[in-house]
Amino acid sequence: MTLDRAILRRLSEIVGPANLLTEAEDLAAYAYDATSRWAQRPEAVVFPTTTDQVAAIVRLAHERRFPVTPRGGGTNVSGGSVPIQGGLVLGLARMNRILELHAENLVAVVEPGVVLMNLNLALAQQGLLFPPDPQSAVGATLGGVVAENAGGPAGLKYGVTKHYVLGLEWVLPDGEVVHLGATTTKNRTGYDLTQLFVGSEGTLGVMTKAILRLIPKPPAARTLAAVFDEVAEAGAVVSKVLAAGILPAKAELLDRWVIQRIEEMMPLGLPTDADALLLFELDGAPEAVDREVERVTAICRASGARNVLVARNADEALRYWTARKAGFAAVFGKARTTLAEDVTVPRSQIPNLIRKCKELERASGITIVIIGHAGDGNLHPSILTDAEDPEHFQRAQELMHAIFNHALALGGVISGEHGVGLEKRPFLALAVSPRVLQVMKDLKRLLDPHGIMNPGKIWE
Amino acid sequence: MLAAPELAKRRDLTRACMKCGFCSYFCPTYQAELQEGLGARGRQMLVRNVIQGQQQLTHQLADRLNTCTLCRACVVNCPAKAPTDQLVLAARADLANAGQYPLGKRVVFRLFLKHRRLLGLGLKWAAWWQRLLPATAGRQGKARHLPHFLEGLTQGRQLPQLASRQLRQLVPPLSRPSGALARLRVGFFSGCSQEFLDAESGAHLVDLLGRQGCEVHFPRAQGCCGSPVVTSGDLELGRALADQNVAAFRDFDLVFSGCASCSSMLKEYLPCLANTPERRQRYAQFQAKIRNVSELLFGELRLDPAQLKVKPEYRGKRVTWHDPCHLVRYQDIRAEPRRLLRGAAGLEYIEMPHADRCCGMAGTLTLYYYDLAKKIGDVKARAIQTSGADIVVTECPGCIVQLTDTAVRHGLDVQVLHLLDLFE
Ligand SMILES: Cc1cc2nc3c(=O)[nH]c(=O)nc-3n(C[C@H](O)[C@H](O)[C@H](O)COP(=O)(O)OP(=O)(O)OC[C@H]3O[C@@H](n4cnc5c(N)ncnc54)[C@H](O)[C@@H]3O)c2cc1C
Repeated sequence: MTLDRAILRRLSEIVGPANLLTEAEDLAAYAYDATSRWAQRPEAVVFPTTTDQVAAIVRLAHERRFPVTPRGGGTNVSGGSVPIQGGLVLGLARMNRILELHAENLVAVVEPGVVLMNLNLALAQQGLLFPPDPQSAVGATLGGVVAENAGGPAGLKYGVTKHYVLGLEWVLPDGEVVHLGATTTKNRTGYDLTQLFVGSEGTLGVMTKAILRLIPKPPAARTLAAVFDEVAEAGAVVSKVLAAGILPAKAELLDRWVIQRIEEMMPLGLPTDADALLLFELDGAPEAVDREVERVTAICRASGARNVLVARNADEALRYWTARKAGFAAVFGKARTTLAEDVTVPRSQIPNLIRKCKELERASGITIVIIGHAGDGNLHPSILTDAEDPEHFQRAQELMHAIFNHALALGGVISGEHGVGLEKRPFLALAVSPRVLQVMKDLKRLLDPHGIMNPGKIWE
Repeated sequence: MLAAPELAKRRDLTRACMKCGFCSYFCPTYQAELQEGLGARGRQMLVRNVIQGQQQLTHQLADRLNTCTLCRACVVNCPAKAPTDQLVLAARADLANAGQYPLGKRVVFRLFLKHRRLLGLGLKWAAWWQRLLPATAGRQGKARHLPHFLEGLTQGRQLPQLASRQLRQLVPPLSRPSGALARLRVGFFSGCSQEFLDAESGAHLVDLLGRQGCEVHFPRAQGCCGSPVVTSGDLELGRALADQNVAAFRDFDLVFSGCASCSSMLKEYLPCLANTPERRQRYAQFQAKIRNVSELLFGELRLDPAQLKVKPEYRGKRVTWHDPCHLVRYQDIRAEPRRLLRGAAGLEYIEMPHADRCCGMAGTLTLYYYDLAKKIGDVKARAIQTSGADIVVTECPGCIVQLTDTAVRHGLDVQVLHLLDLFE
């Protein structure tokens, strides 16, 4: 026990008894996130409602040296919000106000507990858009989105979260509150600490506010789905589209296995005998979008697409994207354990990576499903296994290792958007040099000398 | 040996949840408290812990599971359709067996629900006493399952009015159609609410169907549908009630109810209660006979909404529809009531935002966790206010109790009515 009675009493004073949980049944509900392999109960959960409260809690932790794990929606898939060393879970869900929306400056100021979907809905009313679109918008909070530097299909054209964070209100691991960045798009004042904290996975302090950059919502968007008989072929098409001078908003890939599972879950009339489906969204001015839809259709046909289905209206488009969203569920629902990888390679190497996965699948007899953001090279090869079957699980992990090595050899990275958390700790050293790793650790020690913030994450 | 046999039987159902947490957005209790243990994913995991022997059947666990409204919003919005509702029900059965079954509930259920006549008499007596209670300035008073009501007597909320003349006094065992020929012979399952609380509404329903050409039978042997009992985990009593109702309606091919909760419970004897091959067969046959009243009107009776006449006092009013969970998610009935409200001459229909969100009544939840029920109701109050409607229409007496309470608490100038009470 690291949280003694005095600490609990103090926590209760800071947030009020209604915002402190200590019963075993409540703690059990904070032992997990969206990963399947990790579980650890915290000793208490607090829900601060103001920045001052967050600061007081973190200061207490700094003084009394207990672990603090920030948590938003608990939807991350790398073990990030599992309090692996016990201690305190800092739940930000109740700090959930959208504080400011400036249409003229294209800026929003939000608290960390705002659920991405609710931000999207509020922005849509004013014709605005926060482009990063992790597929978990109904569960993910802005705190988690920033701390994981989340991204989604729109990454191809619009980039990821880090491209949309102008500033932060941040509680440092000693409990001091700092304000970083500004509401301006351009800002050159010393080191860009804002960007250091984006993607810091709760290990360098706590986000209590974010200043977000917005864009005007593109007036038109259309969707098309190209059906391929060869998944690697589909993977190569995106580069051809880009070479033709077209930058789609999204380009997503679903392989045969996923198409079939989606059809079982929600019949959409997808061709279940196809090897792959490539989904494009094109957005911009209506005339331009129409022209681009025609050209992308032609490019897909010329590149071996068996068929190209153009969504006739927004409803039909929504159905395709709903299917894409369901992809993850399709994968996870079918296996006892899924190793959902997040490797990312340069776009031109996508066909190579896909071929390698297929090869590994054939050689091992273990299913590897491919679903992912073909547009930005971020694939999610998912290995279907069963953690309770040691032999199978061991082989699955070896496959994962092989995929990592291959992605790195192709000039890629081991995680595109899910973060390192607990899942990828053992592989970090594969991906960065010892010196770089040391710099990261030095930074961590400088900011968090007692190692209280989300300990046990990122490296072992 | 696992002390949770009902859950153990459903171990496979726990595999669907992959913990993505998307359900939180749709779970009314999560949204009210923003606390994982009071959300669908939290409940899934707690149940999993029980099955894995890591969690005892404590009363703290009971609180987490009994606060589930069983609205099924998590299930329909789940990418993997994880059946959280079924797991919660099974867990409640195990909890009840392990002694987590409030004494008050148990006594009321076992005494009154099993013995319908006793319940009728008790409520007559209560109705007499209720006249001594100060009346609310409100204009409505309808509720459903009486046991809820009895337990709620002390809670100081808007109480439904008990009928001074109960349905058995108002409706004979057989009501002949008003026209020459009977188009349809149907059994009427009244449910506790229309029998003891708003008996006039029940009588009106029988009359209305008579004018649509139905020969309506009201078998006296029927009892409580079992919903409050099954959702409290008392499967044994649930089976006794189910068997009684199945027998009471043996002679009918069609059975209808004007209560969304009752009709959905009657349709679910099979999945919830069938524990022998023999019951499986009987409950399956029974299930096929059950119609919610709007299903009957639009299905077998092919009603043209323009045929129904709006009562004079409601003509020209703006109405909005609240989807009872037991209608929209348990029976997939969404379009029919709206067709009726849109198609009837003399009403202006407005859709409220998120009309299908749970109102917070949720059976006994509102009695044991009134604060939570109020928070859920607050969301509904805002939606009703946004709609600007004069009348909130729904089809579940439970919802009516909660919506009425919500409206009074928020000082909303709206009336809450059962769908068919709008019409002559
Ligand atoms: C089905 C599914 C699909 C997904 N799709 C995508 C996708 O397309 N793209 C993508 O990028 N991700 C995706 N994710 C992963 C996940 O949704 C994102 O990582 C998301 O940003 C996490 O947000 P959260 O609020 O749930 O954070 P949590 O899971 O609660 O926390 C994530 C990390 O952030 C830290 N943290 C949380 N709040 C704060 C704060 N206020 N200050 C400091 N640190 C904090 C935590 O300590 C933890 O390390 C998906 C997940 C699922 C289950």
